[in-house]
Amino acid sequence: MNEIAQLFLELIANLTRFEVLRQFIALGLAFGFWLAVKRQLSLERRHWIGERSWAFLKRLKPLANVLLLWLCLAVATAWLITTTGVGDLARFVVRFYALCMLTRIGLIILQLYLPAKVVQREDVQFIRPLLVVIGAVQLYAQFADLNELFTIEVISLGREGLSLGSLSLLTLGTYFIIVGSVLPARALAALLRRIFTLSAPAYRASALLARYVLTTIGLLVILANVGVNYALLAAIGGGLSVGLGFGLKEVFANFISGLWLLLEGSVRPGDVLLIDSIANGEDPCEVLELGMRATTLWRDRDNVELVVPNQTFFTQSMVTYSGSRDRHRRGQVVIGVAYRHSPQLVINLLEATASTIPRVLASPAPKSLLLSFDNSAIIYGIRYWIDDPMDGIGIASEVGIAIWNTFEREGIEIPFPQQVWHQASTHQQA
Amino acid sequence: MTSGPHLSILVGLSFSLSACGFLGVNKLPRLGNSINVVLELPSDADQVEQSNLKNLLGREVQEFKRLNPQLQVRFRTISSDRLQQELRFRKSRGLAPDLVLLLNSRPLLSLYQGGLATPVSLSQEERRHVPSWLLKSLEHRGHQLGLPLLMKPTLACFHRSHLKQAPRTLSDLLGVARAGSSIGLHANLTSLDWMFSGFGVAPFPSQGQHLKQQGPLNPALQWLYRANLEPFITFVSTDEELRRGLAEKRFVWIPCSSGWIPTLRQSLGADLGIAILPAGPAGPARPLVAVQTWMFGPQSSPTQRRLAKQFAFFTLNPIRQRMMGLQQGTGFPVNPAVTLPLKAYPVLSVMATSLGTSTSPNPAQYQFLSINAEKISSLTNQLLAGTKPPQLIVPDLQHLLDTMPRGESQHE
Repeated sequence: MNEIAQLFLELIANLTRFEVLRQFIALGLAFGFWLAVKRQLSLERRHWIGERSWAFLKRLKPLANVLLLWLCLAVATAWLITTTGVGDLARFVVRFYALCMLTRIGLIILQLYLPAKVVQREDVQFIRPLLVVIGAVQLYAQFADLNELFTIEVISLGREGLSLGSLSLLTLGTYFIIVGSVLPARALAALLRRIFTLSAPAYRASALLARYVLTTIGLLVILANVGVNYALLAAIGGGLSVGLGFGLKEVFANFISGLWLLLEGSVRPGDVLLIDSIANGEDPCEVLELGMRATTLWRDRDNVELVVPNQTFFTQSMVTYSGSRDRHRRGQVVIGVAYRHSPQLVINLLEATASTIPRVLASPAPKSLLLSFDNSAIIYGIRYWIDDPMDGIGIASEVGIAIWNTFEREGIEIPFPQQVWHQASTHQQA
Repeated sequence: MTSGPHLSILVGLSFSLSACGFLGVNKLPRLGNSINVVLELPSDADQVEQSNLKNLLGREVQEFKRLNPQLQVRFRTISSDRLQQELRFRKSRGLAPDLVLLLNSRPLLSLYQGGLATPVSLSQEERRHVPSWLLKSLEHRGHQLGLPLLMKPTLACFHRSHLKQAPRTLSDLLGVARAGSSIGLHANLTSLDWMFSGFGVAPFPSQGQHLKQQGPLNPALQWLYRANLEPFITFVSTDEELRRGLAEKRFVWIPCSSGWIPTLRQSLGADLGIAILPAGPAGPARPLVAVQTWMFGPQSSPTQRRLAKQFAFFTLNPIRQRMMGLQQGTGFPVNPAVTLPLKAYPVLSVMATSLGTSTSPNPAQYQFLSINAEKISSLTNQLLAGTKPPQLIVPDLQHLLDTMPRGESQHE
């Protein structure tokens, strides 16, 4: 660690050199000029020529001041290099700033094709940390020898030590591979969807599988670069086996279950499942994400996200509305009608009423049945098909309201429960 | 979405500030009290030679800091094949080193002309630390381009177990080869300067010296031609091949730099013999001496320039020079005030003898050689491949030597 401190002191000493300070002063002056000019120009609020014709220009507007700053810095650097012949440090700052700016433009373009939430997550989790790391490493490389820094031994493991470079690769490399594999995996899955005309759930499943594959390849490349000690790896593997037998068993079981479910295709992102069903089974959830340990489900009735361990789907039976055939689902409304009305009339009315609901499928046609003779009423059921299993409850409500309106109009009675009481005689009482 | 670039700058600044706090502000270097020194390492050197060079400078830096605790001297190394490129990179960022210790004065002039070096002005008092002929060899058009630190002469290295004593003349050398002992020589006329000098050729002529009056080029090339016909004489292209050849006992005798001695000693132990190079019919060999040279950087502040000069002269003081000579055993002190116990150190004694006849090209001559390297290499190949007889090569070589810039002075 002392060596790292020495290198850092050297970095500070270099920063105080006259020629270096001159470059930073030039950049500082350019920055000051930008602060003064940007208020005068108000580029972000001003109307741009062609703004109405090209919507893309409007999206770029928030970057106007960033672009202006880059221009100021670039001009200052060019002037410095022309007059003094020394300015590559300032040029590095300008180039790095341009890189940051290009990533912003790239993200704006990405937003045209991907959901804003995905792009924002990529920005926060991948792009910004990557820029910080690249900037820090490249800035150091301007002042000192990067190889020297990376070859410093930070961890001693017997005869072989772990250098700072290897440690950085292991930690930062692993992080960036895990978070950075999202977009390439999506692109790969999109290509597969185009070639094999995959359904939406199959597309999402292949994106996840592609991410696992890319991450695994990346991690193997990192281990090969670090020069992994196979004896050490075997020892870690042995320790992990014991760990799996005890504490990590559940984690591992969930991970394998997740992989199996993906390969089998029984649970895929986009599927609709009935899980933790309430009494009438009307509690569908949509699979949002099949993670390494757990699956995230979305329940529309109360807009909650349920995190269910993958193993649950592996060991329990479940109802899915998005299997291999289609996503159609049958709904039913049960209603009691007074005994005095003709069953055939009621059945005709129920079928006609259900057919008027827009979200009820015309084919197969709604079907009404007499289900039972109850104490106070004859019980009928109207059964119909819907396209989206997530809409079951809403459509049932619409059908129920329509039936009530029809019965009201046609004078059909929905009876209250009735009970006949008989009073006992006096003789019997004695 | 637009806060990213600003955020990066903020993160960088806060990282620097927190690191300052972590290290303690009092440890941070004071403005101008710190100099950067670069040590050139031979790109083909092995671990022993590299660590020897690093230790040499490391000791000097440590000693200087012990006596001047308020000053900071930081040194790092650059491989000789990346020297120009690396210095240019640093200069373009305002980070040119204040002082560079070159392996020899070969690249001095091109570095100066490329704006990567700056001349140093010396007072009469300062000039007393170095022989004037050596200072002159580092001059160009009245500018003192560098300061010498150590002299590394070219010697003869051999296996004692195979040769009782080293061949004293060029004829003896051919005799040794004919007797079945394998000899390694450079396949490069520039590196065979010691052989040419034995025939009276001055490969690096000084003012007023005219080669045509000496005219011994033909016998020298004839000797080379005959040597090439000997099956036990091998011509190799690099220093590394020669050095490894002797260490692996494929060669019994090679011309060697004094800087190679620790490496060869490690491989051969007491079997390593050191001698002066064989003399020719016209007199002793006048081999080239590599002068480790301090070069001053172009971007130092006046304070840094003063400190760099102070450090360079610290390494030239008689005590440090003597220590370097005795501890390293690979270089000879340049300070004439230094006396060495030559009887107790036979290698230093051989070096002293060799230095008595050595020559040191000036920066312009080195530059001439590097400009004409391809032409010289072509002549060598023609001779060694037998495509042109020696007498047909003489005019071309004569022309090259005639056009070579003359030295200001020679070590006589």
